[in-house]
Amino acid sequence: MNEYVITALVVLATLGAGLFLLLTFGINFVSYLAVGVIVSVLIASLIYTWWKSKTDKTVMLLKIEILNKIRSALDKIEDNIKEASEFIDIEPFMRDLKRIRKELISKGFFTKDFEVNEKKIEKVTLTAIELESRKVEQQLRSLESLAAASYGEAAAKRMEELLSAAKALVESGFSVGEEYEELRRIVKMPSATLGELLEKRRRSEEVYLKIIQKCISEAEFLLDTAESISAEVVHLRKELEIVKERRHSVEVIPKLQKVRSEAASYLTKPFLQEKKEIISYLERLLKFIKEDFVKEERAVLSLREKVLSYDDPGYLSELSTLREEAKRLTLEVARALAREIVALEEELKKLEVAGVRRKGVERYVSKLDPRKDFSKFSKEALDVLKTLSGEFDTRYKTVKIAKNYPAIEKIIEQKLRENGEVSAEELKVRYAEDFLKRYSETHPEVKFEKKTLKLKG
Amino acid sequence: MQATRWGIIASGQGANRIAFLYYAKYKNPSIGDRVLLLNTTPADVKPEKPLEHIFAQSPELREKYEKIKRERVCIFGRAPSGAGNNWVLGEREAIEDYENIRRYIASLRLRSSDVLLGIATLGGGTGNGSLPYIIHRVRRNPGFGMERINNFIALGIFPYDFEAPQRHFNAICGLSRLLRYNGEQNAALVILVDNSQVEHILDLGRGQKEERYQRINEEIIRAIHMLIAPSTYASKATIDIADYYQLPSNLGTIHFTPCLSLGNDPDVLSLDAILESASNNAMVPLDKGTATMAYIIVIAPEEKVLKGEITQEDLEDISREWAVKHLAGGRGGILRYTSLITSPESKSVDAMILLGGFSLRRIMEKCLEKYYDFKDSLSGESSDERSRIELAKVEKLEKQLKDYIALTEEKIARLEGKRRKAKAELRKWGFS
Repeated sequence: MNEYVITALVVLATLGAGLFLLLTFGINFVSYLAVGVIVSVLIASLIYTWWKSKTDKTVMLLKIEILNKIRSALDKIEDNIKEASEFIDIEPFMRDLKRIRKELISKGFFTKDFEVNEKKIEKVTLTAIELESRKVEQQLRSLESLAAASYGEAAAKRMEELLSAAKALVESGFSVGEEYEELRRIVKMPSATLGELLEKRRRSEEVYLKIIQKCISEAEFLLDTAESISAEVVHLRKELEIVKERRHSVEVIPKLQKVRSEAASYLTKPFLQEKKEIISYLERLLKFIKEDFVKEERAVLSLREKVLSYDDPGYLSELSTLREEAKRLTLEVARALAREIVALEEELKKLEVAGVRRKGVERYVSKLDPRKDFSKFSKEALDVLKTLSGEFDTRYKTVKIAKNYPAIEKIIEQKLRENGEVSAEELKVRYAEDFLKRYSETHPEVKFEKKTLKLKG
Repeated sequence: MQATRWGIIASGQGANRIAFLYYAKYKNPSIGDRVLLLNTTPADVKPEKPLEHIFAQSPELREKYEKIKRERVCIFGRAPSGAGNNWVLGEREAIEDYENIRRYIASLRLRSSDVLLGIATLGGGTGNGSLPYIIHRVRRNPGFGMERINNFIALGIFPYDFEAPQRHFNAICGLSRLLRYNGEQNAALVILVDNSQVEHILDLGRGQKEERYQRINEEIIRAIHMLIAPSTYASKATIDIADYYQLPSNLGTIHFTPCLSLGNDPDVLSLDAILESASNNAMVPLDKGTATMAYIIVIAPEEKVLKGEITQEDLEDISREWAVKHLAGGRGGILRYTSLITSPESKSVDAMILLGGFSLRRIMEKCLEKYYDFKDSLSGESSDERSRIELAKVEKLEKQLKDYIALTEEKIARLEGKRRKAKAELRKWGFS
């Protein structure tokens, strides 16, 4: 609000002063005065701008920055081209770069050492430097495109070579699936500029080397394992040494494959034997898993699937990990059985079933020592599981009979009323014989015939 | 397809207890809050008086009652002290105050395709007197603002054997009126339960009276739950509400009784044994092998059904064998439906066989002496016209029931008789 008031007052004062001058000195005087004031303001503005640009450092800094940019662009493309020299003739490109540098020096933008020539560029306008920068940029771009076109083809060939070498290794059974996928992803990445192409190739080489290194380690492990079972592997170690020396070359792939395949063939027998041993153990373990042990059953089944999925002797070492897992699951199953037995004992107590006492089945579980070797552990574990399972079944059956007897007693009574006798088969219930026996124990008027499994009134 | 909605109308004290207990204990989406409690006397001021024993068990139940009290408890009639065990007065009160009752029933917002289950103890005056009339009105002429509800099933509860003659007299009259009213079929289906029989099945011994009654009522509500179950749970072969009454109405015999076998361990009892066990638990006394119809409803744990350990096909086969053995005529009766329902929460197998068309001989046997003791003493000359039990009316009801029983017996006898041979029949149909 105040601003409006002040502006209005200034306008009114100016108009008032103008009116005063007009009335006091006449129209001619006022016209000359107005033109004079306008011309003086324009001249003063021009002088001020000239003086200001002369003293301002910002423009100079901008000029230096642009020229530094040109220089680093030149350096970078020169480096890239040099790096691409493995696959392309860089001579023409280097010549062109030299020419561009010379031109820039001759124009006074740079010194002979290709440093920004600050003295000379003082007199050159910013616009002129900008124009020069754009010109150089264009030249470099076309130069890079030409280089990328020549390099791209050769680099692609090399990367495809690496990829198929890695694939061959995966197919030979080396555990480098994940690394192969990574390499494949890098190779398939889009790349337009020379810089991108170079970066892609660099990364491809790195991952490929990682693959080779992993394969070498795996092969060494297989050779060690084969040696431990007295296999003759000296010739294979020699082959592996060659691989190590020439790991960058895809030509060593057949050697790696040979080392693995021959070492694995020595391991086939022990591998198959061990695999069979684990599978057969897990299948026996499954038989002790009760209906409600969903979690334990799922874990054992999944382990069995995993063991079955290993079909290459090269996985011999993995089997030892799986053996340990089998031991761990065994303990889980044993603990679950013991837990359920205790729960059933509690239930029997609640149901007031006579002659039931806690057996302290947990002591069986504590007998199991997973530090023992697998064959010893599995033998002991199966014995413990058999005992626990037997204890479980007995208590489970007693609980079921105690809980269901009142309902089944009525069915037995009805059948006795109708037919004077009832057989286990007619009863159509699980544990029929036990129910009939129990009935005969509490009803002296009937007799249970063991031979015919019949209850007669 | 929209699920069938059910409503419950319980008339009289005994029925009030059962319906409220069902509402409070089962969260059945097919029922929701559509439970209506009718009574003639606010006993005398508090309508919740008959439910005090239930409330004593849990304060939550009282809270639930308080919630529904305003909209779901209807006190009808003018008698200051209820119907006084006189069904004539119970009926009179319902007739005179039907407008009041209608308003409450209308508030249940049921459609013509929905189902109403009417509950009454047959020994009393209020429920036994009013329910047959209410069924008759709602099925034929429900009045302003209400759709006709044809699917009106009645649950009639017979008095204990030890109860007084007038209660057995009431029961016979009530049964007759539930089956037929003004010469026409009344309820779409009449489900019968006998208190003494349920007590016998449950083997309750000599416990506290209220506790025993409670156990019996709980068994009855389990039967109600099983009856409604096919409309509620995932059913393998749904028994539609029409299945419950369409064909029985055509056959002319509409009385049924539930036979329950609940909480069976599927690891021990086979379906055969479960059905066998259920058939020993008929909720009215009956002669085995006289039933002509059976609806077999089994609720099984979902995991057993998914594993294929219990299947609809197996149940059908077992039901067929069961029916041949247990239904009239030794050929599987006239009518049979089987429905396997899966329940994700349940670990046990529940089964209900709704036996129908059986001989009413054993029920009549238990009631007739006391019925005549009371009937023969009636003078028919009460000074109060509204409560007068007219002998002529009683005779009419008696004849009506006799006719119904004769029809039932005829059907059983026909099944027991000579079977039509296919070969001879084919010849009549023109096959050589």
